[in-house]
Amino acid sequence: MVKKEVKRVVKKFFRNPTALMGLILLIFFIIVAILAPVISPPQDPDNPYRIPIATWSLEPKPPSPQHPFGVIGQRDIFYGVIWGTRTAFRIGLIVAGVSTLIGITIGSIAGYFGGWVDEILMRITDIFMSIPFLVAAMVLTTILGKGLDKVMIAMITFGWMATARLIRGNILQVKEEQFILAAKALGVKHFAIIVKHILPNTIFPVIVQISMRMGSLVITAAALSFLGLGAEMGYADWGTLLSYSRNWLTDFEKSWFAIVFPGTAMVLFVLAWNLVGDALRDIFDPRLRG
Amino acid sequence: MKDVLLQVKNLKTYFFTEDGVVKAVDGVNFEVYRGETLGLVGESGCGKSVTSLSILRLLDEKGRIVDGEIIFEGKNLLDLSEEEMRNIRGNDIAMIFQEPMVALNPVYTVGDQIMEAIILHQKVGKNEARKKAIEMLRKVGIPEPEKRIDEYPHELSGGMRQRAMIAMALSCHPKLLIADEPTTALDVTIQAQILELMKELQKEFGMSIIMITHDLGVIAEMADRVAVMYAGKIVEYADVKTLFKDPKHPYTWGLMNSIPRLDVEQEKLKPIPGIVPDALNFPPGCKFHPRCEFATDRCRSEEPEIIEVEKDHLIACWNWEELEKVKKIRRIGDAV
Amino acid sequence: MREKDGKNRILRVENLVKYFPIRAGVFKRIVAWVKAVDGVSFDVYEGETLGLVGESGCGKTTVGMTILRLYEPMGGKVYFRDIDMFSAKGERLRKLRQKVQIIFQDPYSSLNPRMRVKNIIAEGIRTHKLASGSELTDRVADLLKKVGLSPDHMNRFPHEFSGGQRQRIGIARALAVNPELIICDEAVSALDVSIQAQILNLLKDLQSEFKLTYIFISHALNVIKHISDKVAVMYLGKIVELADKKKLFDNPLHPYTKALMSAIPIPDPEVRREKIILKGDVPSPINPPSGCRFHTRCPFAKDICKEEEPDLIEIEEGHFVACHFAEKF
Repeated sequence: MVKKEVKRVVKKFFRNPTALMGLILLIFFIIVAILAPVISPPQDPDNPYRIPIATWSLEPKPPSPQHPFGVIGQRDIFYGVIWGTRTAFRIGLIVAGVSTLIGITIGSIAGYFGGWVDEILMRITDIFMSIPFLVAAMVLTTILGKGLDKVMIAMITFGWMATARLIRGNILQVKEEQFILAAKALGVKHFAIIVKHILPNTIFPVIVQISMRMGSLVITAAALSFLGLGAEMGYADWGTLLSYSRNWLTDFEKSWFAIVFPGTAMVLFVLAWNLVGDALRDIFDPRLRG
Repeated sequence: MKDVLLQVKNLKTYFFTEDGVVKAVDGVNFEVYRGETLGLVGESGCGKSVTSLSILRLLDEKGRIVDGEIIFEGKNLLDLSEEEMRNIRGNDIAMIFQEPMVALNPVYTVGDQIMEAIILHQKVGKNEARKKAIEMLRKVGIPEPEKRIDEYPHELSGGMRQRAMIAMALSCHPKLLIADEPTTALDVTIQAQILELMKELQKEFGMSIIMITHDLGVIAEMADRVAVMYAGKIVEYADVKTLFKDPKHPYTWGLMNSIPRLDVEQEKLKPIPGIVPDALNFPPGCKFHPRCEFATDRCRSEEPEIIEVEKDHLIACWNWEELEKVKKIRRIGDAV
Repeated sequence: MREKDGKNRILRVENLVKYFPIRAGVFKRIVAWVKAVDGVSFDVYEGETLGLVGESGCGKTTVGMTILRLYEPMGGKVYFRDIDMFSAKGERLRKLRQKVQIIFQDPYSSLNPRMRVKNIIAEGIRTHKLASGSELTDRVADLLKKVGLSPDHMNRFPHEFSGGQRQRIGIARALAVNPELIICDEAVSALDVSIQAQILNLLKDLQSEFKLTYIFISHALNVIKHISDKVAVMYLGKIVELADKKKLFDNPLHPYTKALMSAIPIPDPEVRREKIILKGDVPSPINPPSGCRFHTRCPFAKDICKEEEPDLIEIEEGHFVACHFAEKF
């Protein structure tokens, strides 16, 4: 049975060329992340996320056999892009994971209990949503201090609301379905109704949402890094790499490689997750099975 | 000789979906005379609604009319430009739907929407249009039309909304009204009101109506002639009295045997076995053969054309004479 | 258990009341009540079918849902055999629910799209520990056969079935726990005519095979006439007429019942009847008319109808009517 299900999912992926492309891209990124120490051996094995200093000159250096993606801010861009893949996954998985957990908890409590509980939780959600994300993140990182972990905390603090709303809406909708009434009429216990009927019909959209968010979170983190709120100087992070080119923005010819390579990595990363998310949505929808 | 208003010839409307080609309407012929009501009856997915949308050329992007002619007052509607077609819609041919909220825009008042149609097609001023709109609302039996004209659709009850939609459809005195399940969503006492209203308005305006419904009762009450559709084809075509007294296609006959009747005692219903076929996977030969008790090998392999078996009584069936025998035996049985 | 004509009473509904609150404003204050069911009483006897008929908003579905405690009642009593259903709690209520089942209108929303047919049907059996293992599989297979499906369908998902087949699955799910009373809530309303007849016949066959009692809720008078032994006509939260099928259809006494019957289009163009076309719409159950609730649309309404609410009284044996002038008609 399980085998059949897996087969179905695989078949589904292979029948849809864009989904397949997303999957291949994603696998490519995963391999790069795993093989980072092989592709770009760190100089200091205890501190591999520090991009080694490649030159003492402040001028950017175009791609060369020694530095295939060029050098900017004294750092080797290739090394940064490779190890930055790991950073991207870390940001995405931790932020999406934790904020989704918070969102599911708050959303399902609001949805199940309704009434006053729902009212209070949803107003809190509204307050969080009404604060412009960038401003809030900036304030929070100023209070907490610089660093990637602080950025992630800020992103989690202001990133759970969409999930909470999604799951609450789904629960409210599913609660009205007749099969829930039918289960109640059969005398099925409350807990079993939640696990068997409500969760399976509400959780899949959230998984799809996680996948879609994985990519965009990396962009947000990069934006914060670009504004100087992200990782410390020299940290292997695509956003930080981009921020180096800030000083050379007017001189694109001299610094194009510092934008193009990390930028491309970022765009492809987002694309991969979005395509996979799209495919997951189709797969999880039982109405589209067959 | 009666005057033909609309003639549909060999209409084929297909939907090109990801899963394959859905032959929603597959070679349909019928005509509508001036002042009469043609009933299009069939179950869900038989193509009756697609037929009506094809006449108005209102199909979504997946649907395409692949063959046929739709001749309205001598012009083939399929040859007209989108511009000319817009002029026909609402003006010469109007449509009402099952769910009035589909046709009524919730952000405009009822009056705005009726006036818009009047101004567009009749080229009159705003005040004149408002007068006409009020007059129209009064005609469809909406009380206090001067007040109701400024209300929004959601402020009206289901029956009133249906009346408002009829007012909108009839505001330009169309020659043909297509009514797609106009009373299906309504309660029976409201349905009776609306059907009565449609009959009165038809008499007053002299328009033709295509009445699309799954309800044989509504057909019996409203239609002059009836086309029974099954799986994208017309399987029986006759005037209403003949059809109900002497159904000749096994599907029509089965349909009539399967409705619970208020006026006749029935111990047990005689349903048509099986399920309505999937439009992506129609059976070969006669599409009704898997559910037909008279099916022969020929029915399984060869599709019957619709032919005239008695005067003005057309059916598409190879084996209709078998059914006649059964009906005869039943009649003798009943008499004994 | 009191008996009537040798039949046991299976359900007694006494003065059932169910209002729904309408809330508004920031504090969700209750601003009005929808009086969906407002004092409904009837008895159901073993093996018979009681038809509950009326137009939208008359409260017929709410009656069914409240009997099952899917909506919490606001007043009245329901006895299943002699057990008070409204005071039952926890385990006792779950046991009671095994005896009273429901079949829903919407064949799409009533089956969990993410569960296989086997699990949908088996859920009740597992909950009440009626069978397990291969015995359970056999039982599901047997139920599928009983409702006219093939046991091979067990591992499929609901979306692989047509509306009529889904309705059969819903029936199998209800049958699985050996109920004595089944509430059919518009069980055939969403189906095509040819399929509707199949399901009606199936319900009749199952009734005689399993000695089932039905409360059949529908807006379609012709379907009600076909399947019921006794019929209750509802209007705006009240029963206006209740009688044996034959008495009700041969001799309807309430003006609303008469209008309802005359409004149904008869599928025979040769039959021409005098139609009673009611004026206006059904009033809102939030603010039902005073006195007799039907007086705003009744062609025979007199002054007394506006002021005094008529009781449901027995006009002839077994024929109850709530109308001041019932005896005159």
